[in-house]
Amino acid sequence: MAFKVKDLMIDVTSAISPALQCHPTLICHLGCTAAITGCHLGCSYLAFSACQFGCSFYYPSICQGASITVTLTCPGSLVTDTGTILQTLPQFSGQALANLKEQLKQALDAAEKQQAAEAETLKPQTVADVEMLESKLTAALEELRARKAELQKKK
Amino acid sequence: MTCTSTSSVPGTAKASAAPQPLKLRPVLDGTFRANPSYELLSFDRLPVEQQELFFSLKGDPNLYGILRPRTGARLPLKTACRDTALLFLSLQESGKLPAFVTAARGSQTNQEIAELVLDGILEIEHDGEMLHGAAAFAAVCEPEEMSGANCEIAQLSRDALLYAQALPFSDPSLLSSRLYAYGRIPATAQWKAKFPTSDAVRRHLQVGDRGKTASQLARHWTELPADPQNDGWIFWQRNRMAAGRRIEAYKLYLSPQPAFLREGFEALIAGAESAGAMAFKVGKNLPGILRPDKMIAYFTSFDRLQDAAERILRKLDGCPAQGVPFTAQIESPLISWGIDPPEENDVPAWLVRQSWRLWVTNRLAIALLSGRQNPPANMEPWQFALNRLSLEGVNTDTWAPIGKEQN
Repeated sequence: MAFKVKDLMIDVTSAISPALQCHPTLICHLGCTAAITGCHLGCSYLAFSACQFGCSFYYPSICQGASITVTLTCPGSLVTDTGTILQTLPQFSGQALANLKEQLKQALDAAEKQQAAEAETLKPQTVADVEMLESKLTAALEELRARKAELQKKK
Repeated sequence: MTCTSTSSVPGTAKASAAPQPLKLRPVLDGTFRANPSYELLSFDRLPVEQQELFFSLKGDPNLYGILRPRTGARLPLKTACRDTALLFLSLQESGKLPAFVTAARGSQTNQEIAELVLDGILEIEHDGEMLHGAAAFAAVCEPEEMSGANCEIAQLSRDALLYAQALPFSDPSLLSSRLYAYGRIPATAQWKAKFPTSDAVRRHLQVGDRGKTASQLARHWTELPADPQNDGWIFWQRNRMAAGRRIEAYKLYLSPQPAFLREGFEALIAGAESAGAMAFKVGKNLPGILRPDKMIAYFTSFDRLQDAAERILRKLDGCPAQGVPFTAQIESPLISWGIDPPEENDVPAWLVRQSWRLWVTNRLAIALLSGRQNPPANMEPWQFALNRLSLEGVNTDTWAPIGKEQN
């Protein structure tokens, strides 16, 4: 007896959605400047994308129109490069644009949270840390005062 | 710190893949029910557009159809073979397993039924409740202390799982892609200035026109034309080998920090030549060389792979490593290995080409989601994912495919 079951690795909501829509965010989740090769079954059916960066990823996309080309940015480079998003923007429309906006909002939220977390980590975390910083600051202040006195004597 | 076996000879590259099978309870006498959150649809009853979506599944003569989550259920979409369908339909009411299953009693059948429960297709009665997925772990598996990560890559892989566990995704492919991409280095302005184009990478590796390494390579290797389906690599194949990029082989991953790309590449060529590799490849552009699995060599046997690993490690002594998650470390995180699963034709087109790492991350992503949505007692989702993967023949302590070190 062999019970053969396979995971289809597809978002069920997009796979069974009655309104088949072009959904570029499904194309390559690594966003690696994926190029859709075109809707080979014609309109409203599946298009395939291959990642140009050798990710071994194939993602299905459900295409409303005939051949379309979409480029996305790779999270690996997204951190420091938003240029590609701006260049790609004119190619998005409708639901895809809404998806992109939603993703950007989420990214902004995440970035703000991370910024806040980073700011928190820069603060002293223990009483010992505070005491150590206090002593350093006091020493620095004393050094400044000594220098000030030295300069005043020279006048 | 290494993932070496205790019997390894100091100074030699030895991989370890000591089996660590998850112990399953005997479940065949239990009470089961088809998970009511799934509906089973035969392929020909699917709407036309969905039949088109899954058209490549038609190649499997044993296929019955699709297990589709009912509205509101957060379960992954699955295919079901005829036997699975028969069992699912037989267990619409809870009860004992039908005779056609229990007639073949044995550890294999026990494991298959346990897997159907862990994958959420069947529910098992436990302490008066019908449980499936990760929540049924205690009902089908013996309690077991999870061992700690014992080498750098094992730790990196666990870090990746902890990261993925925290991501608010419900799409398995999205989660899998984040696991797959874990450990990539961001393309900062500095890196972009150093490697602005693919030609810059070629020049750096000296494999451009009139490059020193290019002429050296030409004696034994042929560079294959770019593959439009997977155009991220520069790929060399040993001369006089049948053409073809898809090779069922032992894969050696070489993962130096990108600043040591050229040194790594030279060591890879030397190791590949001496140990008789069939082919090797290197990332062709900046994203390709910032990924951890930036260089891969293919071998026909595990012995050859180990031979190459030893040679490369000797040449790259002290070279800082990036480390490739979900691969089996050999002595140092610089070098690891895996083996691609056989290419399958009776799967959707987007799953036909699965590398070792993608095969692993796909399974981990499904199990992570199950662990998160249906949490087991006293176990985090990443731990459930590791346990579930261990039933697929992966040693999740070392990330080696179990039993594949034999040639």
